[in-house]
Amino acid sequence: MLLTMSYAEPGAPAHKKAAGGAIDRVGGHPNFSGVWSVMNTANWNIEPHLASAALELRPGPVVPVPAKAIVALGAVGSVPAGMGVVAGGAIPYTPEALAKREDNKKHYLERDPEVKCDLPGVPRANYMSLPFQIVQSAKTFLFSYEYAGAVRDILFSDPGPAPIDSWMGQSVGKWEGDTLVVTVTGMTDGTWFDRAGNFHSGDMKVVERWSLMNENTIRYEAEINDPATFTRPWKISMFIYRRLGEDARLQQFKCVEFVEELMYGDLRKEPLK
Amino acid sequence: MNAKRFTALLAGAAISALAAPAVFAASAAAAAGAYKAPMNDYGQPDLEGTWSNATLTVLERPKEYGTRQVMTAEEVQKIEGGAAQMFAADAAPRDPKVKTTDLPHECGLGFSGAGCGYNAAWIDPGSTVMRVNGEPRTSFITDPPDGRLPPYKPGVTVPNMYMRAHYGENPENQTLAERCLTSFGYSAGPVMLPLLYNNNYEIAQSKDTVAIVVEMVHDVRIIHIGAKHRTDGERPWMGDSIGWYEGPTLVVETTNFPQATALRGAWKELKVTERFTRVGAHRILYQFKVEDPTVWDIPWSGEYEFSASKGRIFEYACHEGNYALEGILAGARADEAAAAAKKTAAAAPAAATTVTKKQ
Repeated sequence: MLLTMSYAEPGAPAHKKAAGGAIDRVGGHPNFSGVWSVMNTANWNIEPHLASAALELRPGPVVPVPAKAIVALGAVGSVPAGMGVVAGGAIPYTPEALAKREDNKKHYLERDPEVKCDLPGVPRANYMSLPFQIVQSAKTFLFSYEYAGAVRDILFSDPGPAPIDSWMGQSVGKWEGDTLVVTVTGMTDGTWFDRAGNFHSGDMKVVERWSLMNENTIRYEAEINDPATFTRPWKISMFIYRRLGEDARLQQFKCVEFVEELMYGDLRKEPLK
Repeated sequence: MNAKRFTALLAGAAISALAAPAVFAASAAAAAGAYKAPMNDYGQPDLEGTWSNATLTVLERPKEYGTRQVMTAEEVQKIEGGAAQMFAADAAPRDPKVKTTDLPHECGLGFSGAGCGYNAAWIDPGSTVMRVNGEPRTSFITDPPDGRLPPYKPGVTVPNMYMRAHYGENPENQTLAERCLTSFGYSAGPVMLPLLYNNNYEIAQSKDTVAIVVEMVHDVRIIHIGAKHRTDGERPWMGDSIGWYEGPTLVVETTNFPQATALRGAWKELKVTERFTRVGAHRILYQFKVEDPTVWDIPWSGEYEFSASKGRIFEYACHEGNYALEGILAGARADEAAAAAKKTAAAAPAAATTVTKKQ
């Protein structure tokens, strides 16, 4: 029940323990070490959505149909439904930004950085379908993401503004009780929130809250601040689950080589027909 | 960088002295000496932090040193002083009128022409000779005693990782580094070897995992503590690493290497054993042993020390900014188009003459 209550109120304090086994601790803090992944469809669309035929549609004689490049995938190319992870349901875009999001949807295939295997940025890295591993000690908190081999290290001493923008940003952490609060800045405007065209500017600040509810469940919340794109700060929240047993091994997804035909195929000495 | 001068400095420092062969792992205890490595909250030797293996010392010993493992003070001064001079000279103001065509055609380390413009602002190969237990070393390899790779078995071929057949024809024909799949050289290893720049690593430890973040191409080596090697025949990038602790030492054993990242030609039966031992507040002794009986009759081994880095690792987003691969392929296509146009132009007068004759 506590879980349900928290889900309905993303801004509410995380519960230290709802169910399950005891929470291991290291350095006096909850130990998040392990392999984790979501069980939602946030990477498809962080807003509430029904299932649909494809990530990019084109007008059909009766209803929109999948873009030509997706048709061959059939049902595999369709989008699974989800309740969304945005508090209140809709992202508070400015009118101009909302128009851009809609345009992004129309040009999904050429614009989503995931299509090109670019680094995912934060928060998206945390809710892609692929897992990530946290390696935590008394002084270190490292995220190693399976997707594209992305990585980020939490700095527990604030070095000041990021000296240079990066895809994964600069993450500065502090403990508030048993919750790890991470402020992420210095990200480029090249990353998206999902496969639905939801985007941000290069001035975005993300404040994440990581709380272990029990040994196998993380409550994850993130507040998004980006006045250039949104009319107010907004929040996402979700559960992230520990992978157990044989599923708890991070694999490699170096997708760079998988997109070479897409990105460079036309430059082959003999382009494929 | 004036790489030619850099190479000359290294080679010119070589003179002979006493041999001092080392045995794998034997010097760990000695090097550890009175220093007591800190333990982490998991009861493991604490290896965490940001580390660098940048150095002027190289994997294989220049032949001039023979079997001598340690440099003299004069040799060290010559190399380190020379490197310092080179960097100072490189930092001096340049004549803005100098063009790439004014650069030397060959400037060593594989650079030529415009490639010689890779000046010191872009590189960070270290400024000191590698010290192991305080000794300035002539090479990383300590066994065989000449500090060089053992002879290859008959029939073993070692492809040059920088030279590819069908260069420029397809993305898959290019080097892994040009494709942003791994670093050039062998930064992530294992064996982890320093490069011309970005020789930074971060080590993080949890109870059952050691993660080594490699700056180059943001690779992360995940070492499974207390696990067994996979037996499914799959060969992940950087191989399949398992580890355990022996007193103050982290031991890592890696097998199942992929062919794409063969270590000096070895991959199929390659086994690399690494030993990480904290020997000082700011030093980790790194020892390695390389075995592949299908490639070499005997194992080879060596050692160096990581030094603590003051800074943190910044993101090396290689693929996201990889304009070079597109440029290489597009350049090759442009060359082909230019060659075809030239051929057509050369053939055109003859064709015209023929037509005239017919008329």
